Amino acid sequence: MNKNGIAGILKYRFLLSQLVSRDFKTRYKRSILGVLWSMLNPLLTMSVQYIVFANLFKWDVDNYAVYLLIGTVTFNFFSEATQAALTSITGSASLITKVYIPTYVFPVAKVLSSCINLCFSTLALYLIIFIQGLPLNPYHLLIPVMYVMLIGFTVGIGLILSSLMVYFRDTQFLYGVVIVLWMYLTPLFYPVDIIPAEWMGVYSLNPMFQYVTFFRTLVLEGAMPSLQCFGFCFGYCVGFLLLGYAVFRKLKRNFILYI
Amino acid sequence: MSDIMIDIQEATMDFHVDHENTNSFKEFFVNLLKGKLHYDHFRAVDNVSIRIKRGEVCGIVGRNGAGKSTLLKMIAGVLKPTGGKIDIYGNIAPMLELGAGFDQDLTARENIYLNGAILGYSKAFLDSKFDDIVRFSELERFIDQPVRTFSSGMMMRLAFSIATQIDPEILIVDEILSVGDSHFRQKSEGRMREMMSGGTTVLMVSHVLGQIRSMCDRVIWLDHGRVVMDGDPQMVCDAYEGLIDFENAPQFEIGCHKDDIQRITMYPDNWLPPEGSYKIKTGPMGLVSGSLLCPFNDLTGNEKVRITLDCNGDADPIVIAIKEEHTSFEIQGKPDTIVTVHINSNFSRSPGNDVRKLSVLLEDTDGN
Repeated sequence: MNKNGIAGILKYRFLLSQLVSRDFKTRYKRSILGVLWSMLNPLLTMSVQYIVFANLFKWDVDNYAVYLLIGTVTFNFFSEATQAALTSITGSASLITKVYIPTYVFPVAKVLSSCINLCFSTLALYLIIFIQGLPLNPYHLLIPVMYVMLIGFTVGIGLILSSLMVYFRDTQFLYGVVIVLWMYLTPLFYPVDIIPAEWMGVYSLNPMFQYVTFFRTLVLEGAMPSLQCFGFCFGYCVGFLLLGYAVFRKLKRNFILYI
Repeated sequence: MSDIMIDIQEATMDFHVDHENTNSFKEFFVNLLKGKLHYDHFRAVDNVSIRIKRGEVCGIVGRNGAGKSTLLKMIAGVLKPTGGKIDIYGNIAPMLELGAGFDQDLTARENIYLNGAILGYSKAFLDSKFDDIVRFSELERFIDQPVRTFSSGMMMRLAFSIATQIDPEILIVDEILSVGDSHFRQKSEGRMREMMSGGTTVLMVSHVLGQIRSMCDRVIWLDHGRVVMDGDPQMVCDAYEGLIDFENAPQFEIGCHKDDIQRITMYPDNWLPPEGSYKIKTGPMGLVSGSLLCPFNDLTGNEKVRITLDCNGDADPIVIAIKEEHTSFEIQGKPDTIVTVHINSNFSRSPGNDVRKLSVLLEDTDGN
């Protein structure tokens, strides 16, 4: 079943590349800074957070700037990709009712577009790593692995959200609230040690917590993430890909009637 | 069997019509609790069965809302039939909507690739056909301008030339030949004829009956989602346009089982009645029944229809004299076998009357 999905993606790779290319070209078409925004955005967010939280709250975290930026880059990707995927099918209603296109192409194309953004943000991250003088270590090579797992998880969520949106138009607003709450429930800008021990169990269930922790372990600690962390990251990726595929397949039968 | 390209079997398409608008979670639950969560069905296509052979150029006519575009979308795979099924035996190129996915901010060149990708072309194909596309659309000077700056005619030309680059086995065309100025229409018709002359099977919808009459070998008239008439282009177009009194044309119904009636319409024409031999698979009772409706009020009583049922050589003819408007018959054949029904009639009218000799058309149940 999953093979079909992957084979399908390969089959439609030209269409996917065209959709991603269209998104990319039109995104910054008439802006001045253009593609640079992909790098500036996380840097600006991180700067504000740094000033507020390091100086006002005086939280003591080593390499706070990098700590913040890792969280920002990771979560922003997830948030942007899922929100774009959510409206991808309803947004292409005019296409789907006229031409035969496999509908999963739309959310996947949006996630891939966000991946391009992710690449630029990662460049910004490395700029700060370099400025802060943080040593590079071979564990950085696992970052692409973490990205792949994160992307898989994101695609799964994207598939679920985009198909729900066709039936329930307020999914968009509900998710808008959910993603904000999710952001607060993930230790992006606060240190992990201020979380009370009783809550750690629940916290560990948060997929974004696992992905961000994985990333931070590689860069800040220069070490291999724990087996538990690896397990969560991998499990969430595969689990949500399968779940997303199943939900999407079930719901897409009647898309055409509600779109 | 290998001659059939499109096999539509009792295809039906139901759309939901909301009573209450249930577009959000809240409305869904409220309506669920109130018990108002039910939908009306709108049947756009109702039990349609059509078989299209290789190389046939088949036109579909009907009023707006008859279900033509819906049927084409079902054949193209854009819609899945809610009942029955549709089998396609060949690669199909639907031209349902021109310029699907054109993005206004991209240039014409970029849109060619985007639209081509949406239509399912590969990059290699587009690269090789790029120059042909540009040349046919006559847009060489504007190829790197954003499509936003194009007039609607230019966009149409671009979309049409992208869509007609292929030589598919089955081509489905939905009213796209009716757009553009006369120069472009001639060009597009010429291109369509080129595609059709290669033995392509074509299914086209158009309101321009002149095009249908000149380009098609067979025409189907859809009304309220059902097939009303299926046959000779001139005949069906005349009926559709109200030139012949379809309501009063004689109808011949033939079927095996009372739930399996097939309607054959007898069309008035100028020619001698052909020998009609038709194959039917009988039902569990082996009955072949039919009725002849003949609303003429000057029957002489000498009009006769001779029906022979031929199952493996035993032919038991019955001869029916038509004395009244409505005559029915029943012949017993072997159950669950394929039998041949021979029909001849000696109907004729004197020249000058608008109803002439009768011919019979029947759809094969088996494709043999």
